[in-house]
Amino acid sequence: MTTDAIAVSKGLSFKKSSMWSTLPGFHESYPGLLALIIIAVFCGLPGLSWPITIQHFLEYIDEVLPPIYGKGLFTDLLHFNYVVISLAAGILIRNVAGVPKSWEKGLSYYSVFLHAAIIMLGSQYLLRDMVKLGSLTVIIMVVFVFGSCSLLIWLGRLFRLEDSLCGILAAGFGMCGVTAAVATAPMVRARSEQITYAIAASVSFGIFCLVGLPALGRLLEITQNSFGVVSATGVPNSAQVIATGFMYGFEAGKVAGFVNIGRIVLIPAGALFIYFFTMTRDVLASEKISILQTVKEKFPIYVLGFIIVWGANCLHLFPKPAVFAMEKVMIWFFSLSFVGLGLQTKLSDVRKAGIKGAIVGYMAGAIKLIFALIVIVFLMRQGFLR
Amino acid sequence: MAQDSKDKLEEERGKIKAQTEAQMMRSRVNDYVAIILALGTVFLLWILQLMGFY
Repeated sequence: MTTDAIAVSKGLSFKKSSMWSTLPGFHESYPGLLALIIIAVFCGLPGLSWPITIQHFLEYIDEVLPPIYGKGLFTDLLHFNYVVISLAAGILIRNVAGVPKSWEKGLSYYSVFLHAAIIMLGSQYLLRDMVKLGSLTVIIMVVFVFGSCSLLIWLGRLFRLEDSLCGILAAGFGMCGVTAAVATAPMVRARSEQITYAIAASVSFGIFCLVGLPALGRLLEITQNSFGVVSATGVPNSAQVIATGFMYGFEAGKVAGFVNIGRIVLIPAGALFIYFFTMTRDVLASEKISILQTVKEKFPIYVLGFIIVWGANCLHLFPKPAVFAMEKVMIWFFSLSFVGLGLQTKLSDVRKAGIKGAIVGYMAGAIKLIFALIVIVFLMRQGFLR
Repeated sequence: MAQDSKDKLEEERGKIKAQTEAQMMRSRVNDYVAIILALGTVFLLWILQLMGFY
């Protein structure tokens, strides 16, 4: 009997092992996972009484240095919180010292921590918070997702980009970066180099947002709540959305994570939208895509976990001290994911993104971001958004 | 000649499909692990609180 035949004869076990086999084993992953935890602890995990951290070191420098306009350089002026420190440490290690190959598989778990933190974010919200965010936020999200996808497709045609490249750039910049680009790639018949290119362009645009958007937010005196909405609307990549929010403030980070769920849910609809608008009539006539199947395949299943935790919290199943403990653990998960995000951020991606596609992507991303800022700041000043 | 390039294109498409399917599968498995991790943590913290540990 061949190995396949044995596996097939075992039926279920073949199916089960094939799905879970995509996950790297413990022996391959533990160096990376251990590195994530150690770096996060040294960056300063909130609530953990570990004295030797970069955060404490920066606070010490602020005490020693003479204050600038009565404020500390790192904590007050540069707003170095655990998110900035985790990200900066990760980026520095990756781009200056380099990351050993043995870490790579473990580092790929950073999205698990990010999604786990987003699920636990459900414990921090009640039904009244959803009502406060309001239908206006949902409308903004839907308009900006489909609007920016259309804008990118139009710009792509103007610059005579290939339909497939145009399609995944629209997914990467219009929806949520890497996940959306990968989900849309087979539908728009993208080639592997085009996928890498779209991911590099959207991630590198996100790096500029990470650095610039919080500073712009402070300049425009945007409230925490509204900045969370700006971040979830304008920044392409989910991890970068939440990191940008947390760089502005804890509340902004939480709102960005909450609002971003609305955008994640739109991935299947957005992928279908891009498919129908980028493919030629011949292709559409020759292929029959099942809408139900596409929605089933592309739906991000972890959103259900968020709904379960949020639902339980809305029913007041968790007592106050438990909610407080959940917040602490959620922050730890976020910290681990931000260190991982930093360790995965290659500054060479900015170079790799090339010229023509990057111009189209950056242009659409910048237009979307400026529109988002104008609309949200206007709504905030008129009192429609908190 | 035309048939050759058509075959190559089909082959490339097949590869991309397999690659993206593997990535989507990994992403789905990541989601399941995240759900288990988060719901497990929430449940544990809830139980520990009910038992009066904190």
